[in-house]
Amino acid sequence: MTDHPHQLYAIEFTEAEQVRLVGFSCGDEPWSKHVTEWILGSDVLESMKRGTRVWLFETAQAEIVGFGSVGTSVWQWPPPKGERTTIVLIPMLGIDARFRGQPPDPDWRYSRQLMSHLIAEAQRVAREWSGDAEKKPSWLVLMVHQDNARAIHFYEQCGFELIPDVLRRQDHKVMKLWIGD
Amino acid sequence: MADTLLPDDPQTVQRLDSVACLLEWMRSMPAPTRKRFFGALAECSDAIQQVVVRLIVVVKNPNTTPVERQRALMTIADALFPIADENGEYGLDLVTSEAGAAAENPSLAREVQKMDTQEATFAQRLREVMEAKRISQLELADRVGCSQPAISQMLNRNCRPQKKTILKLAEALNVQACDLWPDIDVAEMLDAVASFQQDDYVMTDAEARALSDTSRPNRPKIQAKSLPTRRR
Repeated sequence: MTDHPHQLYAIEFTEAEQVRLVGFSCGDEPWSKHVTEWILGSDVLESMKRGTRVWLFETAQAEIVGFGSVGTSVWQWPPPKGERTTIVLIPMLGIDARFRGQPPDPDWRYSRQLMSHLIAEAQRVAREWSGDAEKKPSWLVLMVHQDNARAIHFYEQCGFELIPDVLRRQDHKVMKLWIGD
Repeated sequence: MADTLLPDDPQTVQRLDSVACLLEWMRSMPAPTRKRFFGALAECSDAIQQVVVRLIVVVKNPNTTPVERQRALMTIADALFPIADENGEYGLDLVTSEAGAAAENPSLAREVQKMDTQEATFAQRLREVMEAKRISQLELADRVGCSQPAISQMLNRNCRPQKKTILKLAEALNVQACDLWPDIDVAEMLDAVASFQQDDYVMTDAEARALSDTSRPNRPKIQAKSLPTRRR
């Protein structure tokens, strides 16, 4: 069986893959520049040391369309030493500006394929949770710059909801998606 | 930025040097050549790859004689492109590439620029300022209150400095922060992402409320499905 021509493929990212990213750019907006910088610089490697999984997504012709990541983090509430909640998070994802809105067929839109993969992998983290059952993560969260309306709209289409009244580092909103039972 | 992050065994250091050498060389190639070169290299066995990387170190060594360099290049071409094309040439003119097509090719220059991340630019600028002002790593570390290995890590691009570190470095070197990191906002956003992942982050009340309210679970509106995987 032949795959659909717009099928994307996931490649587990390693440091050696960084050379394949020559020319990769998520765009010139301030919130896009740091996405590019994250995957090309040392931040991605730092994140992987904390257990984050990172994938490159490529077309059948091995063109790199984008990347995405899934990790976990333990957050506390209430302070100072409150209950610890494990959160599955998407530390960073990005699509090369050349592939934005591509292909026109919404069912095969690269952004959608990419997010579909990340949600599935996040659900896997929750499903295969081996720690304390009560601490099993049930939320997937991501952070988005408050001015990045296009991204917020896209995440909402995928099912994410903005957490009201929360701004991280002055200008980043946090969005949540239920991945529990 | 612990000292233990620094590679100290000579083998690791040598391997890192070789990879840096390989990257530098690939960046001097015209884009199509680089693509074919990388494709061919990726298909090779580990053993061949190691040989190629070793030969590249020979090619890039300033003490290598022109004859040795030519021989090393031919051996690389042989290893990567064993089948000569219809003109009797190996698939890639490595010697011409080596001549530095970057200077003559504006689109390549742009591409190389893109690969130069802000972090790379920062490391380069920091090095230049330190050289111009004759300030050692140890002295700079002393001025900003960090360890010498931390400075070394930044210069070698093993870790990105936080925005506040960039500001301190700029002050210690008596230059503008944007002289070291032109887009300082980018550093700020990367700090935000790094902190997002930090364990033991203390949630605000609003976050805690939102995450403890399980009465209205908003499930995915798109089908969740892992993509087929590929290996390189």
